Amino acid sequence: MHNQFKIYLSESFDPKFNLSVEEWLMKHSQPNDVVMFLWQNANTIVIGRNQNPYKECSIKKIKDDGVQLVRRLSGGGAVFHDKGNLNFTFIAADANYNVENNMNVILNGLSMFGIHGCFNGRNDLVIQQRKFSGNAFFSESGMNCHHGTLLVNVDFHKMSKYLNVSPLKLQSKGIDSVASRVVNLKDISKEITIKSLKDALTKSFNDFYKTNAEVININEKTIDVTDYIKKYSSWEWNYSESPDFNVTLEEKFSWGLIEIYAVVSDGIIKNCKIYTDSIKLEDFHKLEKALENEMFKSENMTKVIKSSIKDNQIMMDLCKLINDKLNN
Amino acid sequence: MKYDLIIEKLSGNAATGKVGKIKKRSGDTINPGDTIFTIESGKGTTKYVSKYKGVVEELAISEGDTIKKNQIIGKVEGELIEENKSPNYAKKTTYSFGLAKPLPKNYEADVVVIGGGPGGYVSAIRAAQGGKKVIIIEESRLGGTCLNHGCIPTKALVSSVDVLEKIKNAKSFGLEVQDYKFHLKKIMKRKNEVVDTLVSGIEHLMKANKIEYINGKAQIKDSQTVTVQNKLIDATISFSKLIIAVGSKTASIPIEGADSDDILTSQELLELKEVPYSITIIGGGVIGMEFAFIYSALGSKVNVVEFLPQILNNVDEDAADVIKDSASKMGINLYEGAKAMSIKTSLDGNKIVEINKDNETKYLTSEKVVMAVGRKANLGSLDLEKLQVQLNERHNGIMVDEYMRTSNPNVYAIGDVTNKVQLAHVASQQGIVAADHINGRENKMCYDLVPSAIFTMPEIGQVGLTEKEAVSRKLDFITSKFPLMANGKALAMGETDGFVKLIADKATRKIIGGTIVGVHATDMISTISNIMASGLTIDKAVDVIYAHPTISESIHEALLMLNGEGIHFA
Repeated sequence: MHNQFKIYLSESFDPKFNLSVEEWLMKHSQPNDVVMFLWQNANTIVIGRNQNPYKECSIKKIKDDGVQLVRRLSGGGAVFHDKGNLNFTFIAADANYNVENNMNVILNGLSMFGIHGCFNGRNDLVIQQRKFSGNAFFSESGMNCHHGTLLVNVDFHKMSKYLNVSPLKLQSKGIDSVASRVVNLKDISKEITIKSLKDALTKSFNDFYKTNAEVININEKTIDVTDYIKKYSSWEWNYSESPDFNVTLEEKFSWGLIEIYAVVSDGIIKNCKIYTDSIKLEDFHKLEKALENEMFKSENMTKVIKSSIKDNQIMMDLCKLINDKLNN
Repeated sequence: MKYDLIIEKLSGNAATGKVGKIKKRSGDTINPGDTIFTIESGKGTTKYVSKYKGVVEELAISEGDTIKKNQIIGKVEGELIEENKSPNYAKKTTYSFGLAKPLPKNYEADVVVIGGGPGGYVSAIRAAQGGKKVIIIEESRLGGTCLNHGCIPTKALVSSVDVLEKIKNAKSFGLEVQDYKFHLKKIMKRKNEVVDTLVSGIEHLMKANKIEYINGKAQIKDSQTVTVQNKLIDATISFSKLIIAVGSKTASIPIEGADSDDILTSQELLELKEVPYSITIIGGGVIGMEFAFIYSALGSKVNVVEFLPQILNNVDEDAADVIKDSASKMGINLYEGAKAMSIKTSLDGNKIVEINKDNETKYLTSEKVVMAVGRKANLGSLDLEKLQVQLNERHNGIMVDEYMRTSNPNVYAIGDVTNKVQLAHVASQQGIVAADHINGRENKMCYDLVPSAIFTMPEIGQVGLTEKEAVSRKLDFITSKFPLMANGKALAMGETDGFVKLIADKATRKIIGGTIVGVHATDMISTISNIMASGLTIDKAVDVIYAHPTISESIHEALLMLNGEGIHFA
């Protein structure tokens, strides 16, 4: 059976659409398909399959700045995407799946700009020990996906603003991100742009497989992935698919110090304990009970607080605490 | 029925993974295809998917736990549902892609180079440096035979084998190596990485020099036009000057069994997945001998059959003797002055090579037979008649003048296809000469100072005349020979086999040839080339200070010895 080589290019900058296309390609590609898919997301945090968004980034900051947060299917850590970043995806069945070939397509493409990067031990591509591409993988039903970022001209200021600044005290059994020294490819080769890199990867893919696959442009109008988009838009997928975690929300207010401790499983508060040194006569035990089995979501939690707390100041302070720290 | 839940697969080649999100708990009902939990390893995720219809009785894992392959992680009460053997691929993609027709494209170029080997790509760069618009056409991969199937990959193998030999001899350096193993596949993989890196480097050079590279087979349309078709484009290229650099291919000899499919060439020796138990190599030239050492070191029983009276017939007898000694120590059987008569296959699939030596018929049996009797010019790959390009007198190469012009003044030929000296560095130099002529720069091809580098164990580097050539030309010459045994660095390295030999003209007192056998020989030969090219007399050449402690001091000693003034050898 001859392999069919396919190159897709997304015209959308919406992470929900692009990740949907990726999942769609995993489901709909044939055993003899060898697929490369190039895509870009506008300001987005993408977290690994088994990561906890509360731990990886400041939800409030990203909400305030209109940055999207999406969970992907592959493993690994959280990454920040903007239009200075180009993502690649390789999809193939077991028999045609070779991460090294994929990496070579990328590295060969980059060598057209005189950029000679290499692997490091963590499946990153690096140059002079600085990472310009993070890679991750997932497999299902004999199909495999290898995807990664390519930092061409990413706003590192934003990257460090949103990532690794969790305001929450949180213990999770999921996967933690590993910070790396990063570099933009633009700083290695002046010639490289997103456009020229797309062309180079297309050529490199075709050269590598000695084929002539033409680029297929796709966007929301050419492909219907509505069902997948629903998932990638959902709070359930993005926030509550994290492995179980314990979180402590703490703050000092005029009326005293408060610590809300919660055990969260599947997005639901399974157990809640509240400690405070407040001398006000307020029944925090009632709030503990009311929060249990409630969604770990600011909207739901503030609603519970409003109905359980009598003192107006405490009620407002706690709602602000929840909104500031979760904002989900 | 009860079934154990076993970890069968992790992402990639990982041996352990981490339990990610658990989707089913004890007591949950499950169906085939349900995800029970996700596993993450090395940034890859897989789903642990149920094959059963029933109830999870026990799940002995928690999120974040480390799990191993083949670990039992729980129990299911229910029934095993045989899955459809083929994975569940969705029926049809919404996109179907018809075979796109190659795009017709017309080009005009000052210079078209056909062939991207060390002749072709060098000439392309040189021509582009002179301001010419250059198109290079390569059918396979840039770098040609040298880079893809010759010099470079064999050197990568030689380097792996060097390490292996060092380990085998570790004891003599005071080291004890308990156990070692090699994996031919990994050795080949490293070799491929070396090759791929260099090929991509040349691609980069093409781009940097603004040379258009077209992958595909060139065809001559008429004396001013070539065409190339690949899956992407259907190119018609008109040129002012054409450089033919189409190289050579493995030659064979017309004996019974020589054209059998299972006869290997050097190209296949670079792709073997397992080390053959035994190999018979027909041809004891450079290629044959390099592979003889490589595969012998890897554990093959190697026979070499050489028709001429001496293996490596172009080097002096004393140089060949060092190699023969080393070969014999490694257990390589050399049959010199032996003619291969036929190759047959025995019932058990082994090969039988019939040889004739000293008028006696003998038989060599081995698992594989390799044909390494040289390379012949790729004359059939282009329609030379349409180009009005003529062959040389022996009809084994394209006829060229000292500017590399063929009988058609607009067409040049360089490299193996000219069959002058089939070496990569000669092709490159010919490429420079041809491009210089096109660029209007005076440069002529001269073959007097072509070095050769032979990567046997030990290596040989040779330049200018050999002693036997000097004898056959009836020259009045003097020689000197300094053995590496007397060199401190060689002794320290445990590499004392070999020597530096110099030949000088008695009257002019200039060096006319040199042979180095031993460690670093191929790297050091350029020193002798430089002495020869600059026309230094012995008396001038000895005034240079050679760094201590280096093997190159041997060259100094050999120079001194030409005057009978050697210091470290008496």
